[in-house]
Amino acid sequence: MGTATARRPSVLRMAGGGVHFDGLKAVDDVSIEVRSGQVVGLIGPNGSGKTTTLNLLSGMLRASAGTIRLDDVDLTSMSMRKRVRLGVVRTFQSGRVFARLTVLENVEAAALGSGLGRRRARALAAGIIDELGLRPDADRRAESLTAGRIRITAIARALACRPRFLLLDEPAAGQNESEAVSLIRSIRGFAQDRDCGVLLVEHDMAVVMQTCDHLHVLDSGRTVAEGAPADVRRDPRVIEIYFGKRH
Amino acid sequence: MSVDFLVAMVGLGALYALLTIGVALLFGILGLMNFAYGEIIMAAAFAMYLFQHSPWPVAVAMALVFAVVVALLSERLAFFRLRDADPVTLMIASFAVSLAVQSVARMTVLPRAQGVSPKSFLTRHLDLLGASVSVRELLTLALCGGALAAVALLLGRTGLGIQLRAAAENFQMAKCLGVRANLVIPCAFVVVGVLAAISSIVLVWRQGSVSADMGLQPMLIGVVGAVVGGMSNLRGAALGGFLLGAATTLLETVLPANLIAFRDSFLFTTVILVLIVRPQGLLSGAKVRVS
Repeated sequence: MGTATARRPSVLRMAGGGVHFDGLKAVDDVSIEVRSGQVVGLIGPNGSGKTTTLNLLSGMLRASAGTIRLDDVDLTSMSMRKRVRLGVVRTFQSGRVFARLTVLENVEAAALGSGLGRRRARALAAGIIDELGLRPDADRRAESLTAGRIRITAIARALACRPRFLLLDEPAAGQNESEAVSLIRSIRGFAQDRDCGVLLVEHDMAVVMQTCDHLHVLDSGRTVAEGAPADVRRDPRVIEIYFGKRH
Repeated sequence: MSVDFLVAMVGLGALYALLTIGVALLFGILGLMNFAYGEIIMAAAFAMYLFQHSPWPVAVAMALVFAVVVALLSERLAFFRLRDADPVTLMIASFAVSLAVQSVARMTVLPRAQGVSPKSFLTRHLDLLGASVSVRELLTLALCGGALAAVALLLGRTGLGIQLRAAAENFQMAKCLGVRANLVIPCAFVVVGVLAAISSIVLVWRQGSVSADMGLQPMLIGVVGAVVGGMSNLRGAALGGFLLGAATTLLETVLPANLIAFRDSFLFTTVILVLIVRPQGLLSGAKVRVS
């Protein structure tokens, strides 16, 4: 599909970010950074604060502490819609596609929302649909799709917002390892073509290890490790989280 | 079934479908059960009364202008500040708008019902496939059918239509994707104004009179039809309205003369039975969730 666009490299950065609910620190003092063209994996056990971190970065939740910036722009108290306009776009675990719109219309709605005219929106939507292998389902209503295809439709819709940073919440859930790797590699290819940064929340360590440039590990709302996948894999704290203490 | 009966049945079905789409569109986008819809219809009817001695295209154009202006004013003055309010607050606000507009009309221009002299062409009959069909019924069918087709084209084939349908299904998500509330909501009110005006023109042709409270019954038909078809589904709402109109005509034909006064009792008993079997409406499917 379209050619790569030359864009100034950007950084999406959360510094000391936290969310506190009635004294409970769901996320506490987490600093995370994603650069253009980079795929950062956000991993950790259930309840470790991965989705909450995504909610903070996307504007679904307001931060109780810390700052979120896109280059020089302070996003900390900015609405989700304004962040989307600036290019910070997320997907949801549950897809949240428009059930009665076709797959093509779902993607087109996002392209129109990003400010494109009808013809260019349709062309962009068609290109993304081809790239993610959704062409056979393009004219089917989203409500008739399988769970996996709904997730891919949601990703296609996010891509149609022309993101500078894409925040993906378990995009490959319900797919086997090879399907998951293939999907995330497509997203990675798309992102690198456009110098777009990706923050990927994913459970499957094998998928994460094969697709991410950098990993960030959370446990109980706090950062326990970060670095290159090979280094993180050897980190004793990560081994303890995933495999328990060695006796 | 005779041709004149079919024309009357499909025509009334199409009229009721227009009424239900007007109700369901705003409910989908704003969660607004708009009881002021009847007053938009009344505003258009008042234009028909005011311009009844002008050439009919002028009267029709003014009905469209009056309805769209009242629809947009209600959005700007009442609903604009309540966009994020819960549905109950919106419903009460729409009651307030409805009563305010109706009261102003009653105190000023429509203290009592006013007759609108019927256009001569409406009382004629045409010979169609061996049956004598009223021009009024044919025009009802043509106008309402045409409006339904135009709405279907707008919603199905245009960028605005895709954004309207996305917003009607999940407005929060649509906003998150950058769909502009300040574009979609006023456009939805304009569409509602146009639909109300067309319904109103047909109602004035059929009733021959205009009054301050004339919008109440069509508004209720719109609400009931939308509930039957499925409030959150525009196709379902249109189907609900169509079936309501068709069933009304059918009951008028098949009921014996001594039971015709109870037509609405039969109609709404059927509605209750439908809602017992499908409380979510005829075409409302479950929302898509994957986890």
